[in-house]
Formats: sequence, C-alpha cells, structure tokens
Amino acid sequence: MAELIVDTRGNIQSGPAPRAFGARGPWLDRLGSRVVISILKWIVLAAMAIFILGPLLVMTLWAFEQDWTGDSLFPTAWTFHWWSDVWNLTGITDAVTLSLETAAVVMICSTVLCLPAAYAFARFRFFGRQALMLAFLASNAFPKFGLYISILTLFYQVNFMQTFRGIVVIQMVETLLFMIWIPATAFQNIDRSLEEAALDAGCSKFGTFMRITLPLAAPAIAVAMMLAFVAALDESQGTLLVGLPHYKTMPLIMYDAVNSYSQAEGAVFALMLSIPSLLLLAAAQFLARGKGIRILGAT
Amino acid sequence: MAASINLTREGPVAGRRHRSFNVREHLIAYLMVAPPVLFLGVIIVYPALRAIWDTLAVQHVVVHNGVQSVERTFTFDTYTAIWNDSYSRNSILYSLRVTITSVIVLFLFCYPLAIYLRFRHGYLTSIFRTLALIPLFIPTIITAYAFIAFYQQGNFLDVLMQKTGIEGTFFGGEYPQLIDNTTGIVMGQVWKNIPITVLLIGAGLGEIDNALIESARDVGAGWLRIFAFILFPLTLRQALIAFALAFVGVLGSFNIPYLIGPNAPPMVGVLMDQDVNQAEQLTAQGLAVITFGIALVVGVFYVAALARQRWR
Amino acid sequence: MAELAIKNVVKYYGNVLAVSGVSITVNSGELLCILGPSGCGKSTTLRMVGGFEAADGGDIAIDGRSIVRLPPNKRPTAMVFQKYTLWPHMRVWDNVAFGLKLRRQPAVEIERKVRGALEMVGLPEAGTRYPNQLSGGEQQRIALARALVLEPAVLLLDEPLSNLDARLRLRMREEIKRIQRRTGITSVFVTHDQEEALSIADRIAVMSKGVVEQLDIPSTIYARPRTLFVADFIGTMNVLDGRYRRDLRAVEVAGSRFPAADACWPDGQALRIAIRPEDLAPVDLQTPGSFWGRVDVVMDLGHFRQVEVVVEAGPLLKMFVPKESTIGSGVPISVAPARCLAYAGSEEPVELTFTNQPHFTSS
Repeated sequence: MAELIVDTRGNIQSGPAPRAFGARGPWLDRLGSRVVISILKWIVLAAMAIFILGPLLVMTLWAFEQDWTGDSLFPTAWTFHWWSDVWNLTGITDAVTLSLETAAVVMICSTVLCLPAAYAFARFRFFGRQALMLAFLASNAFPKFGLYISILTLFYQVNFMQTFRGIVVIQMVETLLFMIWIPATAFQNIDRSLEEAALDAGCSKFGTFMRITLPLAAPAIAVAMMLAFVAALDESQGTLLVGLPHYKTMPLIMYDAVNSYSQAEGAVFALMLSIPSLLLLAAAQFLARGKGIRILGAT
Repeated sequence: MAASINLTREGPVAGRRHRSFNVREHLIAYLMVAPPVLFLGVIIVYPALRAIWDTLAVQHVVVHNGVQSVERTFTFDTYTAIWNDSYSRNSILYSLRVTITSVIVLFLFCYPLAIYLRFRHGYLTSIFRTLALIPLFIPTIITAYAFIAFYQQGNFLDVLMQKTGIEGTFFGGEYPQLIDNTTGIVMGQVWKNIPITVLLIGAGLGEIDNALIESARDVGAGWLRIFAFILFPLTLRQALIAFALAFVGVLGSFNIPYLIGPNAPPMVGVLMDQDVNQAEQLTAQGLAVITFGIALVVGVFYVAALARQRWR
Repeated sequence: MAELAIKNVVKYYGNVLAVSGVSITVNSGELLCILGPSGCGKSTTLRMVGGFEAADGGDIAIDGRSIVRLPPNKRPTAMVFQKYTLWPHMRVWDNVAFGLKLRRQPAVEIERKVRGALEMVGLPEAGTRYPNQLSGGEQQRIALARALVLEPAVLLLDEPLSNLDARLRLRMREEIKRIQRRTGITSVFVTHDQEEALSIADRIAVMSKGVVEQLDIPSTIYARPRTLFVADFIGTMNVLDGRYRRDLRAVEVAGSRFPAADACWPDGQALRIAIRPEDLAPVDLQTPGSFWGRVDVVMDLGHFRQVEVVVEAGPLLKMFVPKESTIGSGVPISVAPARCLAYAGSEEPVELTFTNQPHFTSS
C-alpha cells in the first residue's frame, strides 16, 4: 500500500506507510495501528492526568466544600467560609507572612550568593573545578538531620537561633545545589562568540555579562529562582529547630493540620502555600513569552 | 531545560581555545566561587565531619578520683548499636527497599515519557510535557496532603471506585490501603521526582542527533534495539545523574514517609527526626552517616561512569 | 585606511606551537586572505589580532601603534565570526546599533549610520526583525553591517562563509569584495577554501602548521608556489617523484626524460615534480618527453574536461582538455607537459619549460 507521506519535517516519502513510532508488531498493523495507538495515547494521557492532577484537584475541592458526605463524589455545596475561618485563626497570618518573607529573602540571597559561582564554573577553567562541583553534589546527599546538632550549636554561638536570619540561612541550604547547577548550565550553553562579539564591539567584560550573558540566561535563572522559592517554602525541620517557639512557618502549621485541624482547613493551608509558587510560574512564563525562549519544556 | 553541567574535558574552553595557565583568571574564579563554597563549608561540610567524628570518637563522662571530666573513646559502638537495634536496622533496610522500588518505578515511567517527548511534537505532546513538570513547583508537604485527600480510605478515589464498581470487581468490595502504606510512599516519591528525571533524560536525548536514529532505522533496527544500543548508552550520563538524585532524595526524605508512610517501620528520615526529638543526637548522627555512606556508594557509580566517558 | 603589521607572532597551546613566528603586513585598504587547512593556525592568528587570544610572543601594530597588549574591546578592530553571532535576544537594529550606543553617539547619528550600514549590505528593511527570522546569508550580512558600522581600522573575517551553502557562498564573497572595495577598509579574511582566496584576495598568505609558507598576489601563488605544500594546496596539482641526471642534463620522472639544461643540482638529486593539469596535453603516442599510459576516467566539468591517465610507470595524472575533445576511457595515450615546477628539498622551485609542446589553458 503505497502512499505519499509528508512527515513532520516536511520531507516527502513514498512507499508503504511507515510504522508509527512505538508500533509493537504486525498484529497491531493488522488492527489498524493508527487508531489503536491513538486510543492508547489518550488512555495514557488520562491516566497520567489523573495521577498528576488528581490529588491536587481533590485537595482544592476540600478547601471549598460545604457538604460532602462519604457517598458522593463531589461536594454537594460550596463555601468560602473555610478561608475566613483560617484567616481568623491566631497566628495564621503571621505564619503565612513569615513563610513568604523568608522564601523571598532566601530566593534573593541564594541568587546573589550563587550566580557568580555559577558563571565561574561555566566559563573559567580552574584547578579543582570538577572536584568542587562534585562536592556540591555530594554534600546534598548528607541527610540534614545529622547536621542539625552541629548547626544549632553554631547558631547558638553566633546568635542566630530564633532569628529571621537563622531561618533564612537554614532554608538556603536546600537551594544551593540547583542555584549553581541550573544557571551554570545556562551560561555554558551561551556560545562564547556571542560574548566575544560584544567585547569586539567595545563592551566591557561586566557590560557584556549584563547585556548579553545575563539576558540570555535569564529564563533558566528564573526557573532556578522559582525552585529556590518553593524549596524555601517547603523547608520544615530546620525551621522548626531554629525558629520555634517564636517563629512558625506554614509547613509547621500543616503538620498540625493533618491531625488537629479539619480536612478543609488543612486544604486551605495547602493552597495558601502553593499559590505563590504557581503565580511565580505563570509570571515567568508570561515574561519569557515574547523572547522566543520558553522556560518549561524547552529542548 | 538544557543538559546538566558538562564536567568533562570537552567543556567551554575546549579545542582551539585552550589557555595557558593564567594566574589572574584562577584568582578571579576562586573569588567568585568562594561565597557558596564557604557557606557549604560552614553549614554542611563542617557539621558533617563533626557528625562523623562525634559518632566515632564518642564523648562520655568519666570520673577520676571524684573529678568529672569528659573523655573521648574511639569506638564503633554507635553504629553497632544502630545495627543491633532491630527497629533501626529494619528502618534502614526498609528505606533501601522503598528507595530502590521508587527509583525503578520512576525510571520505568520517565524513560518512555522522555523518549516520547523527544520524538513527538504536537499539541498532545505539550500537554504531556506540562503535566510532567507540574510537580516541580509543589512543595512536598502539599504533595503529601494532596495524596491523603485523594488516596485515603473514604476519600475521592475510594468513592470513585465504589461508584464505578471497580472496587467490587477487582478488590472484593474493599478499598486497598494506599495511605499509611509503602505503596503510598512509592507513589508520592515517583510523583515528586518525575519532573527532574524527565528533564534530565530529556536533555540527554536532546543531544542525540536525529540522524543517528534515522540511520539505525534505515538498516532495519527495531525500537528496542535503538533504545538499547543508541538511546540508552548516549543518555547514560544524564540517566545516572537522575538516578543518583532520585536515589539520594528518596532515601533521606522526610515529609512524604512521615505523612503517607506506615508507622512501622519508618523510613530513615522519619527515624532520624524521632531521634532528634528524643534528644538521641548521636543515634541520629549515626543514621545520617550511614545514609550518607549508602548515598556515596551510589554516587561512586556516577563518578565512575563519568570518568570513563571523559577518557574515551 | 590603516596598515596592519603582524610581526613574528607566536602562540603556544600547552606545549604545542600553534603559531610560530608569523609576520604579515596588510597594506592600507588591502583585502588579505590567510589561507590554509584546519589546524594551521590561521584562525588563531586572526583571533590574536582581534584580541581574543593572547600572543605569547611578537607584536601586532596598527599604523605603527602596538595593540598587542590591549583587550579586545579597546582595539580598533571589528570581527565577523564564523557563526554569525548576532545576539538573539535583540532585534537586528539593536544588534547593529549596539557598539554605537556604547560609544554614546547621538541618536541621530546612530540612526543614520545604522540605516547606512543596512543599506550597504542590502537589507534596509531588516531592522525590526529578530535574528532567528533571517536566513543564514542574511544573518551573515547583518554581522558584516554590525562590524562595519563601527568604522574600524581593520576588519577581520573568520571563515565567514563556511556555514553557507555553495551558491550563497559565491554570491556572498562577491558582496564582501564589493563592500570592501567601496569602504576601503583594511581587511583580513581567513578561509580554508583556496578558490575563495584566489578570487577575492588582493594578496594571500598561505599557512601550514603555524608558519606562513608564502605571501603573494594570487596569480603568483598559483603560478609559482614557493613550497610543495602551497603547490599541492592551491588548485589541482600533479606531484611526481623525479631524479636529476647531470650526465644527461635531464630530469627522469615516471619512466620519462625531460630536458633540464640550466639546472644546477647535484647528480642524483631527488626532486618532486609538480605539473598543473592545464599544462599537460595529449601528444602522439610514444613521443619522447611524454608520459605513456591509459585513460582511466573522463569527467565533464562544464566548460572543460578532466582526464585521468594511469601512467605505465605507476602514478595517476590529471589533465584538462577542451570540452570538444574526443578522448575516451580506456584508450592508450601519451601526455606531455608544457611546463613544470621542480622542488629540490626545501629550496625555491625551479620552473622548467618545454617548448615545442602545445598546451591547453582552461579559461
């Protein structure tokens, strides 16, 4: 059965219909493999969508449910009153604000601390470069629980315990690895000739970095910053040890939520914690839109 | 997102652009790298070394002629105690089991997905891609909570399965226990690690020229062969990094096993938390060192594969 | 309108000597090509002029003023890179105007100059587009505009046409030549394509293994290549082993003997004989002073033909004949050279002409 086929790259081929990607064998061909593959794809997509989104969506439903008995799939009535409930709980506004503040500060401090190092790893060849990079990877492998006792002792000595700066420092630990790794990869992928061309035109080294290198690496750096934000929000054990009883962040409230608060209130906490990062993600996608550089899923 | 950092010789300064030894460049580089390195040194390296030291050179109070003093003796007691305590020992073994299971499931799912995303383009593909990346931006506490909302007995999935009769037909009318169960942990860990794994493998696949695949198909290779002899070897580096990251992440994880896992045995992360809360610092540190040791062994494979690639 | 003097420049990569004592003077307004195979050091030399590689020895001066210690952003040079290297996040207009804005030139001036540069390269409407919306040739022209708009003393081009397809390459090199003539900017053009160099250069520096083998005008390079390397690299060349016989006052090559009356080599001197295909012509079979063999392949190259002859004594000879020629494959044939170059060791070649031989020139 010969046909003229134009494939996705505009090449014209003739001959028997090519076997579809992933075709498993002659029996499928006989069944009309195209249709079967299509149906399979939709099934897999549905399963994946349920796996990924299902838990999140159901949790969202919890936050608005009014009347939800064990028999029905969805709530029968909806309400916003959980949100006002939670908002009026003592300490919640403080916890939310604190979480957002520390996450933001961690994001900025981590970026400032790590970007120059990322550039150095990417562009300079210096003795110990690989060893240092491996050290970063390796140090991430040591469980934090084993470090806390020493860190806390140190914190006591420099008066970091129960302080904002102490919480920031302990949350920064999680962010170091990808705050160096992701920007470094981005810098490495920028062709050297682009920087050389800027130097050639008369730009200073720093000017080249600001006008050429940084804008081109910006999408990846933005992703790294968002991941830092999320990681900082998520950090609980260290914050607990350093911050309690004075400072309480949202994750600590969430632990209580599983036991003491109602399902719906717990869901409200969870949504409050995820909304900032989702907003950041949307903002970053929006900013990157016009430049022809996509943040997510770029290959 | 692009490929992982290229640590091989063929880096950004390769080929015709070698530089002779440049002191100034070295100094600038060290200066730029110093801040996070110092941070790392103070906050992680020193405490880690301290943990190893404290667990091996254990302090205890000694009384000499009525005078109390603190002495250190070199001993493996900390570790033998952990190993002899069945609770801790089971915790370690359980953690390894869960980690290996999770990573295998993760790769079984992510490799085909990454391959699909690499070779297919279109609307459907971008939906898959977005789905795969969503978990990246959700904190793990929320993941755990959302899983409870969905998979817990009496919650959404239970009701769904009852209503559609699945529960009756496949499970004999009883809802399988997914929360407070190993299955829950594995599902949660897979969920959480999908984005980074797909991205890393995808980056490796992205470096493979279409021409390599096409020439293989031209000589008649089937897909399994193409995977085994072309795709897998060429993405080995990224796959290993993804493997190492996932392994280490799951092994030492806390939130997901704490909220979704069974009470006994606990995973190592949960056990360490318990020990810290019960002021059993030494045991917690000992467990941490053991976990780190296991992670290092896994990491050695990565470094070995990397080194072999470099000198090819 | 500036003179570029590269004096004895040296560059090491680790222990490897990539450029060893290269001296080239580019006269004001001249387009000089540095030609050579990959790895010969031509790009390295150019990058040292531009400031992107540090010279380990020697000097580089423009109009007498040494620039070798200056960083690239302070040198009066402008480079067109092999890979276009237009900044993808900036529009074409901003790409070209970049350097002018850095120099804080007034907006009106910038407007005028950028427009002029875009017109000169034939892309007046491209200003609002992004680089990825342009074709390869268009991007390269914008890169040229970007370099020219800064009115550099010296224009450097690093294999700018290598990434273009063959037809585009032909058109672009004529463009570049035209623009260079119009602006009169002293230019250095690096390439590995000898045809490219021969067609547009005012002078050519042929490099091999870090050394300049010959620096001359194209016709001299073609007609009198100073070393065997240049002879072999430029155009097509037949190279055979030969020996000088003092007693016969002749050169013995591939079983035949050619007169060399005025030669002053010692008896038995080993020679490499280089003959251009257009200097060979078919003669009557078994004529003395000719190569005898069999025709192997006849290739139709448009307005002339290339005939490959397997000589009885062994080597393969390439010969150009008019397109009307009726020589067929497989026939026995004798070919005789009108002239050849004889290389003894590393000495300058001796040209031997053989009169009474008709020869064919492809025009």
